[in-house]
Amino acid sequence: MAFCMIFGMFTGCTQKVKPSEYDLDALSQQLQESAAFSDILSPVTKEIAASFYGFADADVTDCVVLCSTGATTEEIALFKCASEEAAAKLKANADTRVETQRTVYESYAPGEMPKLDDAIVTQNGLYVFYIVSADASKAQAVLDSQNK
Amino acid sequence: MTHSNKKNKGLRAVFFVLLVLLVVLIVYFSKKEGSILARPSETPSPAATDETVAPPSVAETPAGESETPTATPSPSPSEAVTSGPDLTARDPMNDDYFSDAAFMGNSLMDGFRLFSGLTTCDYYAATSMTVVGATTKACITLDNGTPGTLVQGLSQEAYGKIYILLGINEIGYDVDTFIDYYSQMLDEIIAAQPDCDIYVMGLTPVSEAKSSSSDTFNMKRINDYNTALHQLAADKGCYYMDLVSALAGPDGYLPASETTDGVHFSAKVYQTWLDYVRTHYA
Repeated sequence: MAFCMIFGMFTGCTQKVKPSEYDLDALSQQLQESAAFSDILSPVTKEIAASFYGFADADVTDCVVLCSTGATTEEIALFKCASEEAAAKLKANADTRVETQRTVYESYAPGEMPKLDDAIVTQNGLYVFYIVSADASKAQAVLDSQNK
Repeated sequence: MTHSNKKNKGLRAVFFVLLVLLVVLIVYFSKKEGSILARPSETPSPAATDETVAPPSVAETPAGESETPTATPSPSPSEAVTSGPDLTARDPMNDDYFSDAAFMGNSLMDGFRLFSGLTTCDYYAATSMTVVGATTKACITLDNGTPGTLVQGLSQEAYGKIYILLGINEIGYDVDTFIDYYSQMLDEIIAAQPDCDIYVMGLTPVSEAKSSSSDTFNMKRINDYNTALHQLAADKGCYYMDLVSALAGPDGYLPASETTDGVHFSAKVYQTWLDYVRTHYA
Protein backbone atom coordinates (compact mmCIF):
# COMPACT_ATOMS: atom_id res chain seq x y z
CA MET A 1 0.00 0.00 0.00
CA ALA A 2 2.74 2.39 1.02
CA PHE A 3 4.70 1.38 -2.04
CA CYS A 4 1.70 2.13 -4.26
CA MET A 5 1.25 5.55 -2.68
CA ILE A 6 4.90 6.43 -3.09
CA PHE A 7 4.92 5.02 -6.65
CA GLY A 8 1.81 7.06 -7.39
CA MET A 9 3.47 10.22 -6.19
CA PHE A 10 6.25 9.75 -8.70
CA THR A 11 4.23 8.44 -11.61
CA GLY A 12 0.47 8.87 -11.69
CA CYS A 13 0.42 12.16 -9.82
CA THR A 14 3.12 13.71 -11.94
CA GLN A 15 0.98 13.02 -15.01
CA LYS A 16 -1.63 15.45 -13.72
CA VAL A 17 0.73 18.37 -13.22
CA LYS A 18 -0.24 21.17 -15.57
CA PRO A 19 2.46 22.41 -17.89
CA SER A 20 4.05 25.71 -17.00
CA GLU A 21 4.36 26.68 -20.67
CA TYR A 22 1.85 26.41 -23.50
CA ASP A 23 2.26 26.93 -27.20
CA LEU A 24 -0.83 29.06 -27.72
CA ASP A 25 -0.83 28.78 -31.50
CA ALA A 26 -0.57 25.01 -31.35
CA LEU A 27 -3.21 24.80 -28.65
CA SER A 28 -5.67 26.95 -30.61
CA GLN A 29 -5.06 24.78 -33.66
CA GLN A 30 -5.77 21.62 -31.70
CA LEU A 31 -8.94 23.12 -30.30
CA GLN A 32 -10.18 24.08 -33.74
CA GLU A 33 -9.46 20.60 -35.02
CA SER A 34 -11.23 18.95 -32.10
CA ALA A 35 -14.70 19.29 -33.66
CA ALA A 36 -15.82 21.12 -30.53
CA PHE A 37 -16.95 24.15 -32.52
CA SER A 38 -19.87 24.57 -34.89
CA ASP A 39 -19.21 28.12 -36.04
CA ILE A 40 -16.48 29.60 -38.21
CA LEU A 41 -13.82 31.05 -35.91
CA SER A 42 -11.50 33.78 -37.14
CA PRO A 43 -8.59 35.48 -35.38
CA VAL A 44 -8.86 39.00 -34.01
CA THR A 45 -6.05 41.33 -33.03
CA LYS A 46 -4.77 41.84 -29.50
CA GLU A 47 -6.27 45.34 -29.58
CA ILE A 48 -9.72 43.95 -30.35
CA ALA A 49 -9.30 41.25 -27.69
CA ALA A 50 -8.43 43.94 -25.17
CA SER A 51 -11.78 45.59 -25.85
CA PHE A 52 -13.50 42.39 -24.68
CA TYR A 53 -11.23 41.37 -21.86
CA GLY A 54 -10.16 44.76 -20.55
CA PHE A 55 -6.43 44.23 -20.25
CA ALA A 56 -3.58 46.67 -20.64
CA ASP A 57 -1.24 45.89 -23.52
CA ALA A 58 1.75 45.32 -21.22
CA ASP A 59 -0.20 42.86 -19.06
CA VAL A 60 -0.56 40.29 -21.85
CA THR A 61 2.64 39.08 -23.47
CA ASP A 62 1.01 36.66 -25.88
CA CYS A 63 -2.51 35.82 -26.95
CA VAL A 64 -4.53 33.96 -29.54
CA VAL A 65 -8.17 34.97 -29.77
CA LEU A 66 -10.60 33.58 -32.31
CA CYS A 67 -14.16 34.86 -32.50
CA SER A 68 -17.26 33.43 -34.12
CA THR A 69 -19.24 34.96 -36.98
CA GLY A 70 -21.59 36.45 -34.40
CA ALA A 71 -24.17 33.75 -34.96
CA THR A 72 -22.92 31.99 -31.82
CA THR A 73 -21.05 32.72 -28.61
CA GLU A 74 -18.29 30.31 -29.52
CA GLU A 75 -14.83 31.64 -28.91
CA ILE A 76 -11.27 30.61 -28.18
CA ALA A 77 -9.24 33.09 -26.14
CA LEU A 78 -5.82 32.02 -24.89
CA PHE A 79 -3.63 34.45 -22.99
CA LYS A 80 -0.20 34.50 -21.45
CA CYS A 81 0.07 37.32 -18.94
CA ALA A 82 3.06 39.26 -17.69
CA SER A 83 2.35 38.37 -14.06
CA GLU A 84 0.08 36.14 -12.01
CA GLU A 85 -1.59 39.27 -10.71
CA ALA A 86 -2.43 40.34 -14.27
CA ALA A 87 -3.60 36.79 -14.99
CA ALA A 88 -5.93 36.81 -12.00
CA LYS A 89 -7.42 40.10 -13.16
CA LEU A 90 -7.86 38.79 -16.68
CA LYS A 91 -9.48 35.61 -15.35
CA ALA A 92 -12.02 37.78 -13.51
CA ASN A 93 -12.71 39.72 -16.70
CA ALA A 94 -13.15 36.46 -18.59
CA ASP A 95 -15.71 35.35 -16.00
CA THR A 96 -17.50 38.64 -16.55
CA ARG A 97 -17.46 38.06 -20.32
CA VAL A 98 -19.47 34.88 -19.84
CA GLU A 99 -22.17 36.89 -18.12
CA THR A 100 -22.00 39.70 -20.65
CA GLN A 101 -22.47 37.22 -23.47
CA ARG A 102 -25.34 35.64 -21.59
CA THR A 103 -27.07 39.01 -21.37
CA VAL A 104 -26.49 39.77 -25.05
CA TYR A 105 -27.59 36.41 -26.40
CA GLU A 106 -30.29 35.25 -24.02
CA SER A 107 -33.10 36.75 -26.07
CA TYR A 108 -31.23 36.96 -29.37
CA ALA A 109 -30.13 33.32 -29.50
CA PRO A 110 -31.36 31.37 -26.45
CA GLY A 111 -29.80 28.21 -27.84
CA GLU A 112 -26.42 29.64 -26.90
CA MET A 113 -27.11 29.51 -23.17
CA PRO A 114 -25.98 25.88 -22.67
CA LYS A 115 -22.69 26.73 -24.35
CA LEU A 116 -22.14 29.55 -21.90
CA ASP A 117 -23.17 27.27 -19.02
CA ASP A 118 -20.33 24.98 -20.08
CA ALA A 119 -17.82 27.74 -20.72
CA ILE A 120 -14.25 26.82 -19.81
CA VAL A 121 -12.61 29.71 -17.98
CA THR A 122 -9.36 28.75 -16.29
CA GLN A 123 -6.17 30.23 -14.97
CA ASN A 124 -2.92 28.29 -14.69
CA GLY A 125 -0.10 30.49 -13.52
CA LEU A 126 0.43 33.12 -16.15
CA TYR A 127 -2.09 31.57 -18.53
CA VAL A 128 -5.79 32.32 -18.82
CA PHE A 129 -8.09 30.38 -21.14
CA TYR A 130 -11.64 31.28 -22.14
CA ILE A 131 -13.27 28.69 -24.35
CA VAL A 132 -16.93 28.59 -25.34
CA SER A 133 -17.77 25.73 -27.67
CA ALA A 134 -20.60 23.59 -28.94
CA ASP A 135 -19.09 20.55 -27.22
CA ALA A 136 -17.18 21.51 -24.08
CA SER A 137 -16.11 17.91 -23.41
CA LYS A 138 -14.11 17.87 -26.63
CA ALA A 139 -12.50 21.20 -25.83
CA GLN A 140 -11.70 20.04 -22.31
CA ALA A 141 -10.15 16.87 -23.70
CA VAL A 142 -7.74 18.99 -25.72
CA LEU A 143 -6.77 20.95 -22.61
CA ASP A 144 -6.36 17.75 -20.62
CA SER A 145 -4.11 16.33 -23.30
CA GLN A 146 -1.73 19.25 -22.72
CA ASN A 147 -1.24 18.09 -19.17
CA LYS A 148 0.37 14.79 -20.07
CA MET B 1 -55.37 55.94 -122.63
CA THR B 2 -52.09 54.17 -122.88
CA HIS B 3 -50.20 57.37 -122.16
CA SER B 4 -52.53 58.10 -119.22
CA ASN B 5 -52.00 54.57 -117.86
CA LYS B 6 -48.26 54.93 -118.12
CA LYS B 7 -48.45 58.28 -116.35
CA ASN B 8 -50.62 56.80 -113.56
CA LYS B 9 -48.27 53.85 -113.22
CA GLY B 10 -45.33 56.23 -112.85
CA LEU B 11 -47.12 58.31 -110.26
CA ARG B 12 -48.11 55.19 -108.32
CA ALA B 13 -44.49 53.99 -108.38
CA VAL B 14 -43.21 57.33 -107.08
CA PHE B 15 -45.95 57.39 -104.43
CA PHE B 16 -45.10 53.83 -103.40
CA VAL B 17 -41.40 54.64 -103.09
CA LEU B 18 -42.21 57.75 -101.04
CA LEU B 19 -44.53 55.71 -98.85
CA VAL B 20 -41.86 53.08 -98.23
CA LEU B 21 -39.33 55.80 -97.44
CA LEU B 22 -41.77 57.41 -95.00
CA VAL B 23 -42.37 54.11 -93.22
CA VAL B 24 -38.64 53.45 -92.99
CA LEU B 25 -38.03 56.92 -91.59
CA ILE B 26 -40.83 56.57 -89.04
CA VAL B 27 -39.49 53.19 -87.85
CA TYR B 28 -35.92 54.53 -87.71
CA PHE B 29 -36.75 57.61 -85.66
CA SER B 30 -39.11 55.84 -83.33
CA LYS B 31 -36.35 53.31 -82.48
CA LYS B 32 -33.78 56.05 -82.05
CA GLU B 33 -36.05 58.01 -79.69
CA GLY B 34 -36.72 54.84 -77.68
CA SER B 35 -33.05 54.19 -77.19
CA ILE B 36 -32.43 57.74 -76.04
CA LEU B 37 -35.21 57.45 -73.48
CA ALA B 38 -33.91 54.15 -72.25
CA ARG B 39 -30.33 55.28 -71.77
CA PRO B 40 -30.65 57.30 -68.56
CA SER B 41 -32.01 54.35 -66.62
CA GLU B 42 -29.03 52.26 -67.68
CA THR B 43 -26.32 54.84 -67.07
CA PRO B 44 -27.16 58.22 -65.62
CA SER B 45 -26.10 61.00 -67.93
CA PRO B 46 -24.13 63.95 -66.55
CA ALA B 47 -27.25 66.08 -66.93
CA ALA B 48 -29.26 63.66 -64.84
CA THR B 49 -26.55 63.66 -62.18
CA ASP B 50 -26.64 67.43 -62.01
CA GLU B 51 -30.32 67.33 -61.19
CA THR B 52 -29.81 65.17 -58.15
CA VAL B 53 -29.57 66.47 -54.60
CA ALA B 54 -26.03 65.22 -54.41
CA PRO B 55 -23.67 67.29 -52.28
CA PRO B 56 -21.04 69.09 -54.31
CA SER B 57 -18.45 66.58 -53.21
CA VAL B 58 -20.03 63.77 -55.21
CA ALA B 59 -17.38 62.69 -57.67
CA GLU B 60 -17.76 60.99 -60.97
CA THR B 61 -15.78 57.89 -61.82
CA PRO B 62 -12.30 58.88 -62.98
CA ALA B 63 -11.65 58.21 -66.63
CA GLY B 64 -10.41 54.75 -67.30
CA GLU B 65 -11.52 53.42 -63.94
CA SER B 66 -14.05 50.71 -63.65
CA GLU B 67 -17.56 51.39 -62.51
CA THR B 68 -19.06 49.91 -59.38
CA PRO B 69 -18.04 46.24 -59.10
CA THR B 70 -20.14 44.09 -61.37
CA ALA B 71 -23.58 43.86 -59.86
CA THR B 72 -24.52 40.31 -59.07
CA PRO B 73 -27.87 39.15 -60.30
CA SER B 74 -30.30 39.27 -57.42
CA PRO B 75 -33.23 36.93 -57.06
CA SER B 76 -35.51 39.95 -56.98
CA PRO B 77 -33.83 42.94 -58.61
CA SER B 78 -34.41 46.30 -56.99
CA GLU B 79 -36.13 49.10 -58.83
CA ALA B 80 -33.89 51.92 -59.98
CA VAL B 81 -33.76 55.01 -57.82
CA THR B 82 -33.71 58.05 -60.06
CA SER B 83 -32.56 60.75 -57.67
CA GLY B 84 -30.07 61.21 -54.88
CA PRO B 85 -26.34 60.82 -54.73
CA ASP B 86 -24.88 57.52 -55.80
CA LEU B 87 -21.43 56.07 -55.45
CA THR B 88 -19.12 54.52 -57.97
CA ALA B 89 -15.88 52.62 -57.44
CA ARG B 90 -12.81 54.83 -57.11
CA ASP B 91 -9.21 54.50 -55.97
CA PRO B 92 -9.09 52.86 -52.52
CA MET B 93 -8.71 55.12 -49.49
CA ASN B 94 -6.21 54.23 -46.78
CA ASP B 95 -6.96 53.90 -43.08
CA ASP B 96 -6.27 57.59 -42.37
CA TYR B 97 -9.29 58.52 -44.47
CA PHE B 98 -11.50 56.94 -41.82
CA SER B 99 -10.01 58.82 -38.86
CA ASP B 100 -13.06 61.11 -38.83
CA ALA B 101 -15.52 58.27 -39.44
CA ALA B 102 -17.97 56.43 -37.22
CA PHE B 103 -19.57 53.10 -38.00
CA MET B 104 -22.89 52.30 -36.34
CA GLY B 105 -24.96 49.15 -36.50
CA ASN B 106 -25.90 45.67 -35.38
CA SER B 107 -23.93 42.45 -34.86
CA LEU B 108 -22.77 42.53 -38.47
CA MET B 109 -21.25 45.94 -37.89
CA ASP B 110 -19.67 44.56 -34.73
CA GLY B 111 -18.23 41.81 -36.91
CA PHE B 112 -16.85 44.53 -39.17
CA ARG B 113 -15.14 45.99 -36.11
CA LEU B 114 -13.69 42.59 -35.16
CA PHE B 115 -12.55 41.33 -38.51
CA SER B 116 -12.08 44.19 -40.99
CA GLY B 117 -8.88 45.38 -39.34
CA LEU B 118 -9.98 49.00 -39.65
CA THR B 119 -9.11 50.66 -36.35
CA THR B 120 -8.77 54.35 -37.17
CA CYS B 121 -12.51 55.00 -36.84
CA ASP B 122 -15.04 54.82 -34.01
CA TYR B 123 -17.57 52.03 -33.71
CA TYR B 124 -21.02 52.09 -32.16
CA ALA B 125 -22.40 48.61 -32.63
CA ALA B 126 -24.34 46.07 -30.63
CA THR B 127 -25.73 42.62 -31.20
CA SER B 128 -29.47 42.57 -32.03
CA MET B 129 -29.53 46.34 -32.55
CA THR B 130 -32.44 47.86 -34.50
CA VAL B 131 -33.32 51.29 -35.87
CA VAL B 132 -35.60 51.83 -32.89
CA GLY B 133 -33.02 50.56 -30.43
CA ALA B 134 -30.36 52.86 -31.88
CA THR B 135 -32.20 55.85 -30.42
CA THR B 136 -33.82 54.27 -27.37
CA LYS B 137 -31.64 51.48 -26.00
CA ALA B 138 -28.87 52.62 -23.67
CA CYS B 139 -26.33 49.92 -24.46
CA ILE B 140 -23.01 51.76 -24.54
CA THR B 141 -21.04 53.85 -22.09
CA LEU B 142 -20.67 57.42 -23.27
CA ASP B 143 -17.48 59.44 -22.87
CA ASN B 144 -18.90 61.04 -19.72
CA GLY B 145 -19.35 57.62 -18.14
CA THR B 146 -23.13 57.45 -18.38
CA PRO B 147 -25.11 54.88 -20.36
CA GLY B 148 -26.28 56.03 -23.76
CA THR B 149 -27.74 54.96 -27.07
CA LEU B 150 -25.75 54.38 -30.22
CA VAL B 151 -27.04 57.63 -31.71
CA GLN B 152 -26.04 59.52 -28.57
CA GLY B 153 -22.63 57.97 -28.99
CA LEU B 154 -22.47 59.28 -32.54
CA SER B 155 -23.33 62.75 -31.29
CA GLN B 156 -20.38 62.98 -28.92
CA GLU B 157 -18.10 64.50 -31.51
CA ALA B 158 -18.23 65.95 -35.01
CA TYR B 159 -17.67 63.24 -37.58
CA GLY B 160 -16.90 63.68 -41.26
CA LYS B 161 -18.48 60.39 -42.23
CA ILE B 162 -21.02 58.11 -40.62
CA TYR B 163 -21.75 54.62 -41.90
CA ILE B 164 -24.96 52.92 -40.78
CA LEU B 165 -25.90 49.26 -41.05
CA LEU B 166 -29.26 48.41 -39.53
CA GLY B 167 -32.28 46.47 -40.69
CA ILE B 168 -31.68 42.73 -40.64
CA ASN B 169 -33.00 42.40 -37.08
CA GLU B 170 -36.27 44.11 -37.99
CA ILE B 171 -36.75 42.35 -41.32
CA GLY B 172 -40.11 41.16 -40.02
CA TYR B 173 -41.53 44.71 -40.04
CA ASP B 174 -43.44 45.88 -43.05
CA VAL B 175 -41.22 48.02 -45.25
CA ASP B 176 -43.06 51.30 -44.66
CA THR B 177 -42.85 50.97 -40.89
CA PHE B 178 -39.17 50.17 -41.10
CA ILE B 179 -38.52 53.18 -43.32
CA ASP B 180 -40.51 55.46 -41.00
CA TYR B 181 -38.35 54.44 -38.06
CA TYR B 182 -35.18 54.66 -40.12
CA SER B 183 -36.18 58.11 -41.36
CA GLN B 184 -36.70 59.36 -37.79
CA MET B 185 -33.33 57.99 -36.77
CA LEU B 186 -31.63 59.58 -39.78
CA ASP B 187 -33.24 62.93 -39.01
CA GLU B 188 -31.80 62.76 -35.51
CA ILE B 189 -28.33 61.95 -36.81
CA ILE B 190 -28.47 64.61 -39.53
CA ALA B 191 -29.55 67.20 -36.98
CA ALA B 192 -26.60 66.29 -34.76
CA GLN B 193 -24.12 66.03 -37.64
CA PRO B 194 -25.30 68.49 -40.32
CA ASP B 195 -21.94 68.65 -42.13
CA CYS B 196 -21.32 64.94 -42.21
CA ASP B 197 -21.48 62.55 -45.17
CA ILE B 198 -23.88 59.81 -44.13
CA TYR B 199 -23.68 56.41 -45.77
CA VAL B 200 -26.77 54.24 -45.52
CA MET B 201 -25.66 50.67 -45.96
CA GLY B 202 -28.16 48.31 -47.50
CA LEU B 203 -28.93 45.03 -45.81
CA THR B 204 -26.37 42.32 -46.42
CA PRO B 205 -27.28 39.18 -48.39
CA VAL B 206 -28.27 35.89 -46.79
CA SER B 207 -27.41 32.41 -48.01
CA GLU B 208 -29.61 30.61 -50.49
CA ALA B 209 -30.48 27.98 -47.87
CA LYS B 210 -31.57 30.69 -45.44
CA SER B 211 -33.44 32.61 -48.09
CA SER B 212 -35.37 29.61 -49.32
CA SER B 213 -36.29 28.39 -45.85
CA SER B 214 -37.39 31.64 -44.23
CA ASP B 215 -40.43 33.82 -44.77
CA THR B 216 -38.56 36.80 -43.37
CA PHE B 217 -34.83 36.34 -43.86
CA ASN B 218 -35.01 36.01 -47.61
CA MET B 219 -33.58 37.93 -50.53
CA LYS B 220 -37.01 39.09 -51.70
CA ARG B 221 -37.55 40.99 -48.45
CA ILE B 222 -33.94 42.13 -48.29
CA ASN B 223 -34.21 43.57 -51.79
CA ASP B 224 -37.52 45.24 -50.88
CA TYR B 225 -35.89 46.81 -47.83
CA ASN B 226 -32.86 47.86 -49.83
CA THR B 227 -34.95 49.46 -52.56
CA ALA B 228 -36.73 51.50 -49.90
CA LEU B 229 -33.47 52.32 -48.12
CA HIS B 230 -31.92 53.46 -51.38
CA GLN B 231 -34.83 55.81 -51.96
CA LEU B 232 -34.72 57.05 -48.34
CA ALA B 233 -31.01 57.77 -48.66
CA ALA B 234 -31.69 59.70 -51.85
CA ASP B 235 -34.48 61.68 -50.19
CA LYS B 236 -32.26 62.63 -47.26
CA GLY B 237 -29.20 63.48 -49.36
CA CYS B 238 -27.30 60.49 -47.96
CA TYR B 239 -25.21 57.97 -49.84
CA TYR B 240 -26.46 54.44 -50.35
CA MET B 241 -24.07 51.48 -50.27
CA ASP B 242 -25.22 48.35 -52.06
CA LEU B 243 -23.83 45.56 -49.91
CA VAL B 244 -25.73 42.85 -51.77
CA SER B 245 -23.74 43.61 -54.90
CA ALA B 246 -20.59 43.91 -52.83
CA LEU B 247 -20.88 40.72 -50.78
CA ALA B 248 -23.10 38.25 -52.62
CA GLY B 249 -21.72 35.54 -54.85
CA PRO B 250 -22.53 35.27 -58.55
CA ASP B 251 -25.89 33.72 -57.67
CA GLY B 252 -26.93 36.77 -55.62
CA TYR B 253 -26.68 35.01 -52.25
CA LEU B 254 -24.18 34.99 -49.40
CA PRO B 255 -21.81 32.10 -50.19
CA ALA B 256 -22.68 29.06 -48.06
CA SER B 257 -19.01 28.45 -47.32
CA GLU B 258 -18.76 31.78 -45.48
CA THR B 259 -21.64 31.41 -43.04
CA THR B 260 -23.05 28.97 -40.53
CA ASP B 261 -26.46 30.50 -39.91
CA GLY B 262 -26.98 32.04 -43.34
CA VAL B 263 -26.88 35.61 -42.01
CA HIS B 264 -23.60 36.21 -40.17
CA PHE B 265 -20.39 35.66 -42.09
CA SER B 266 -16.72 34.90 -41.88
CA ALA B 267 -13.76 37.28 -41.62
CA LYS B 268 -13.13 36.85 -45.36
CA VAL B 269 -16.41 38.55 -46.21
CA TYR B 270 -15.61 41.46 -43.91
CA GLN B 271 -12.43 42.04 -45.91
CA THR B 272 -14.54 42.26 -49.07
CA TRP B 273 -16.84 44.68 -47.27
CA LEU B 274 -13.90 46.85 -46.20
CA ASP B 275 -12.58 46.87 -49.77
CA TYR B 276 -15.98 48.12 -50.90
CA VAL B 277 -16.02 50.86 -48.26
CA ARG B 278 -12.51 51.93 -49.18
CA THR B 279 -13.46 52.33 -52.84
CA HIS B 280 -16.93 53.86 -52.53
CA TYR B 281 -16.95 57.33 -51.06
CA ALA B 282 -18.21 60.84 -51.65
